[in-house]
Amino acid sequence: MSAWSGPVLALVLGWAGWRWLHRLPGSPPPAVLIPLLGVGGVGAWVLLLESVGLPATPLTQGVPVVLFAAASLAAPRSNTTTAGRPGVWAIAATCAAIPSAILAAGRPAAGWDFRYLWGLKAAVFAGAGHHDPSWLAWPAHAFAHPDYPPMWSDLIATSIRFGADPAAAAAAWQAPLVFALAASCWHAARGAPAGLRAAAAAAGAWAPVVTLPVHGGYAEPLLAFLVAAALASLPAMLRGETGGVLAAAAATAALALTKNEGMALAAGVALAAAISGARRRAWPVGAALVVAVLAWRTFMWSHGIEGEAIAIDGGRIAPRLPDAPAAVAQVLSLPLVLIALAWALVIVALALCAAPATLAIPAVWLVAAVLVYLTTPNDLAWHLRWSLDRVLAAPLPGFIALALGSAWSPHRAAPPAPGKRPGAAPSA
Amino acid sequence: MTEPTHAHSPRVALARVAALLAVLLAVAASLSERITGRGVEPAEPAASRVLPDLHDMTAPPGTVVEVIVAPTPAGDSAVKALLHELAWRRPDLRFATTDTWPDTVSVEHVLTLGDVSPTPRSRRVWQSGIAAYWTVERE
Repeated sequence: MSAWSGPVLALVLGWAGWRWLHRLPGSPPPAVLIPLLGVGGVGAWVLLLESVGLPATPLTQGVPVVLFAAASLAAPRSNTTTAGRPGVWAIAATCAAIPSAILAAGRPAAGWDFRYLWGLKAAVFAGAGHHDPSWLAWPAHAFAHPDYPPMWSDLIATSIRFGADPAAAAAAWQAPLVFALAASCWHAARGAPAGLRAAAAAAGAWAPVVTLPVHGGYAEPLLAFLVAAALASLPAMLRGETGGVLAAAAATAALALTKNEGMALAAGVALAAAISGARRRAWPVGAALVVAVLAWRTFMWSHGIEGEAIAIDGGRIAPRLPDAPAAVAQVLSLPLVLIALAWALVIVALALCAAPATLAIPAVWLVAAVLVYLTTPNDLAWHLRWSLDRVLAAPLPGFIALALGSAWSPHRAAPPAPGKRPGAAPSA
Repeated sequence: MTEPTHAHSPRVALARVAALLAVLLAVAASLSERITGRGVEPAEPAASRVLPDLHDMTAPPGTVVEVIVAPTPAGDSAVKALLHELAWRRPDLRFATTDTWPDTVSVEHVLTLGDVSPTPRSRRVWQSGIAAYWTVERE
């Protein structure tokens, strides 16, 4: 049962945070906000403990959560109930997610990237009580990508500190992540008919990065959830509603601490906030990105922890360009082609109906991914073979949900202010 | 600034078709992953089957250990796989082969895998299966 200690701790923390924030306008529903605040809170707390020189232990992680939860009982209660009874399609979406969650939680993690990357670092962090810089900086540990943002390993390590086996701990995390992903897709697709929202939720819960055993224990389910949560918060963020802005900021910070792709997606969310009409009210999103990135990068730089030498270097990119199509052709498979086509359709739908700022997110992510592949120190075909399917598939469920929501509830630009020419630049 | 979009305009209809097709393609991709054989459990790494249990290897946490592997036909890739598995089995230690050993760190602990011996000044303190753990006396 100790495998469930981390998820339970995160959900209690998320529930406590939700009690304080749910009254704010634009806040996502509890099924999105609780897991978002929970995983983000656990990750942020571990970094905070490290920054003040305290070890992460069951005591230093558990007691503050209990105290915060107790304090949250004093939070003012909402006078209005916005959530009615769940409809039949919401129940159907939940039922679709249940078997995926059970399958994922019942299968101990065994994928390569779990055993020698995420799970390994989780075991190291749990044993040391912190992000053991001497282990990360040991040159022979380069295979474990010491530079990767640590949040997924931190979540697994939380359960290990309570006595869990790493493989069981990673598996247990999958269950709440499956439900959270499905709920975020449901929420991101609002505006679409309930049946389609349920389809979006089910597509999220059964996404290949969530359910395939070869990906067991990987960070992609967490990434997929955080992207979907950010997108679910996006419309309220773009309207400048406080609850939406804070939820998007939490998702942005958590994304920036979850894989390098997460950092690119977080930068996309921050850019969307910056170029939207609500940029003055959405500044916390950019601040969250800067704080999260600096927290991890400062730790890395101060301890001499190095990652792969990916440099934006024209001399390295130019020779790669002619070989790139052949390298991509080598790794093409039916699932990859289907995922790529789905992405193309999502972009079309978003371009036609979503708020223009929305497109900043896939644009930043796509540019970052292409640059990483073109500058990788590894063989390009090898790098593509072992990552391209996951890179493309992880953010897809959230974007599909957003595309559905946008297509059935198209963005309408605000009417020009009196005295302004139509087409003039909007004021913030 | 975009022009207002109407629910029954051609662009909205096109967006809806695109979004619906994207859902179908995502589901098809998920199904095809299973049909094409990626739905199976990952095999246990070969290095895991070769190595013995290392839990009772008497090296205190934080020890840096040089790994010497007997020559193998599988070459460098097999050695790398063994190093990965060693890290997984004993995350409290730091392993490195002679090739990747930092110049600034002196070798005081050695793990040999297979029929190979470290320097003459080494003393074997633990052995299990193909693995033997040695401490190196200072000169």
